[in-house]
Amino acid sequence: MGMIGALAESDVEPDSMNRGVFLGIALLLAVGSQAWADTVPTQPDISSSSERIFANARPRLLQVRTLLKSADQQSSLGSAFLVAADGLAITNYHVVSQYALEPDTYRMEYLGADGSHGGLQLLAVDVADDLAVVRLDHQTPDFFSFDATALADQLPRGEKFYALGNPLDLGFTIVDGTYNGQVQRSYQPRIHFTGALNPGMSGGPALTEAGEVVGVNVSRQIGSELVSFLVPARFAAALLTKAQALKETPAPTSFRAEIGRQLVAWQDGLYQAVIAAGFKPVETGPYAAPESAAPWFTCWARTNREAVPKPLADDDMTQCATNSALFVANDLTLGSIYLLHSHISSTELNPFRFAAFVGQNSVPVIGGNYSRKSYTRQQCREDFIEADPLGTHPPLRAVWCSRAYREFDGLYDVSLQLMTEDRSTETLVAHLFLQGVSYDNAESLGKLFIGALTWRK
Amino acid sequence: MAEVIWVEVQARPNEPPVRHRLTQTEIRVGRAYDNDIVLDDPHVAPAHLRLFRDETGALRVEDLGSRNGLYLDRSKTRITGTALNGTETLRIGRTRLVIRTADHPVPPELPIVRERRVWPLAILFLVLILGLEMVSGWLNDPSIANPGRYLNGLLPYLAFTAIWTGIWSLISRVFSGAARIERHAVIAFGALFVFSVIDELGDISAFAFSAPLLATVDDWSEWILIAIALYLNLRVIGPGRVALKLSGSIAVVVVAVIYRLIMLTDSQRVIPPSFVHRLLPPSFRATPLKTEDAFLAETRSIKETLDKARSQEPK
Repeated sequence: MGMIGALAESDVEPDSMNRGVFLGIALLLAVGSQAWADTVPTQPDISSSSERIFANARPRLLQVRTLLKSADQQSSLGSAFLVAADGLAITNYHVVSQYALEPDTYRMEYLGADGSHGGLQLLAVDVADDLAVVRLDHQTPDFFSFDATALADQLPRGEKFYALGNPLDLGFTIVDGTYNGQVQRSYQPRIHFTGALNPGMSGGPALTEAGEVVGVNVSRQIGSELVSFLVPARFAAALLTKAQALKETPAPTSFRAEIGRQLVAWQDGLYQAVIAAGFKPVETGPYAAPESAAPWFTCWARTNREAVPKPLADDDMTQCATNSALFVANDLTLGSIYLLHSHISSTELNPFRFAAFVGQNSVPVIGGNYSRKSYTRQQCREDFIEADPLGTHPPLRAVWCSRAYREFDGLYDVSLQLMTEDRSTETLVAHLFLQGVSYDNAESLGKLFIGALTWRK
Repeated sequence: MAEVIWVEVQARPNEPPVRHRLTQTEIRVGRAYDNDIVLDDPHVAPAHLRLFRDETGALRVEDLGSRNGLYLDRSKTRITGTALNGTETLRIGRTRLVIRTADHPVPPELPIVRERRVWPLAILFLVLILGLEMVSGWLNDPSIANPGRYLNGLLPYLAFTAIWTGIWSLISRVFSGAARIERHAVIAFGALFVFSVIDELGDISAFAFSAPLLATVDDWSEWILIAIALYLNLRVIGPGRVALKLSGSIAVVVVAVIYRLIMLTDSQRVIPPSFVHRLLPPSFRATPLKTEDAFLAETRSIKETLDKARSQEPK
């Protein structure tokens, strides 16, 4: 979840722009557990309603542990909650991602509030909404039901919610907070919950006063206070229905391919929407840079004009990114679209030195960390391209770079950099970076992007 | 008047011979002190050879019955005697003898040729290299000019060139007697200048033709230049054995090319540049403009490469 990029991060490389944190990633618990135990309050003035909710919910809560088979030690912790009598429980996809991707290396088990424990079967995953359905090895007469107004997406803003889970492996906990509607500018629907979610609570339920499920704890914003996010209950209910319709338990090794199919289908939806929204021209110097008209982009601008020593060319940059990153694995997040444009001009540099400035300040390749495990090496093509017959854009220099995801057929990272070539000491550099896209979608959006860069002659 | 006969005794190879001027009608050669020419070679018999004019007046040599015998030139066949005309080398024991009469012909004197001074050319190359690097460094630097920095990259190359010149002068001195440092300097600095020019042209053509690989032309040309320089250095030492020198230089190129190809197949080490790093003004474009669709069709070819790499590229 790359929700709402922090201000200071607007100028970093695309790959490292995501700052959302996943509550299930709890490897650092072992170090901090003692210190945390002293500081976690037992909430002395707990309201009577939270007391009642917690008492009722306790037997329906689970802690989900992913263990490394070879060492038989936990490698990640999360929460889950029972939603059916036949042992079905909802958790986050990112809580079970290690098992879903590497079932030969990891195994899962649950731990109940009463100390009961046992193995877990994975039944269904929904990567886009970060959900999974797991099954316990026994019947569970006591389980949660979904809130009807939440399923209809008609919750009143300001309502009090209670989030439950096992933060930092400290024991089951109840946290109260406020419903603040759906997050604007997030491609995936997410509930903005003002309450203290902590690592380990991922996959736990958020309840109404009546104790019915309205959402699933999923993430919080780093560098902020109490800004947390829930997956709306309707997605959990839909995945549960899908899991209940299964005739047989899917093989553990079948989930990797299923995740790949979901990612391909998901990006199709995202890119159809972005292509349909189109680009809007943003005037910058004699050029108009393409910015997406889709609502999920957050843009930040910056300039080098105040830099010391003063640069010999002015560089005014705008960087836009979607809040659409999907967690796939601990070392793999994809799904973002980045749009950058940079208007560079100089009165002091000659054309050669100006070209050198542009070259040093706009690298066309896919940056960030290159993991040979996740990606192939990137391939690039570059050429000079003609203004279209109508002459709406000047001659351009274009560099297209792409790399494939090793584990997921049909998914690529694509970078397309355009640079105007009509003036010798002024240029517009426009850069489109697509993370986890099908080649067809990349080409369609790329073509649209080239067409959207225009100029005044 | 007695006839003069010269006997040249060469006791060891690569040493100037010792010449003996003799006027006897018969000359004896051996280790014993009753000979006209006394040799210290232990493999020579006390009385080994006899030199005389035969009945026809020809100069002859005859083995006096030695154990190790008499051989002619490089032949392995022992002979008992032979007529001489001054062109043969006789071998007895481990000693070589050449016997010549006073009328043996010698080639005419060689004129003393004064070598042209070529140091101004070496200086010219050095100035051109420095100038080229300064201008190129400045044009590539979009920040406040810093001339000192532009030559930093050149220093190792200059050091290499100087060491190369020194080593070849030393080799020249040993094998041909003259260091000829000016000529070796011209070769080394000339090669470095050509290398600088190729490096620049490679960068310019990479941008002009949108072909990033052209920027690596310097990596290939450096070995070819080294081989050419090697050949010229060898020619400066001595004009002979052209075929040997040529094949030695070609061998250097072949080894370098094979080495580079091996490095390229080891994809972990050398990654060819995927994009043009050095941008130039728009007027340096040399390829015709492509249409959007032609460009996008080209990018489609990447997809197949990537799909293959997905399964084939080592992790």
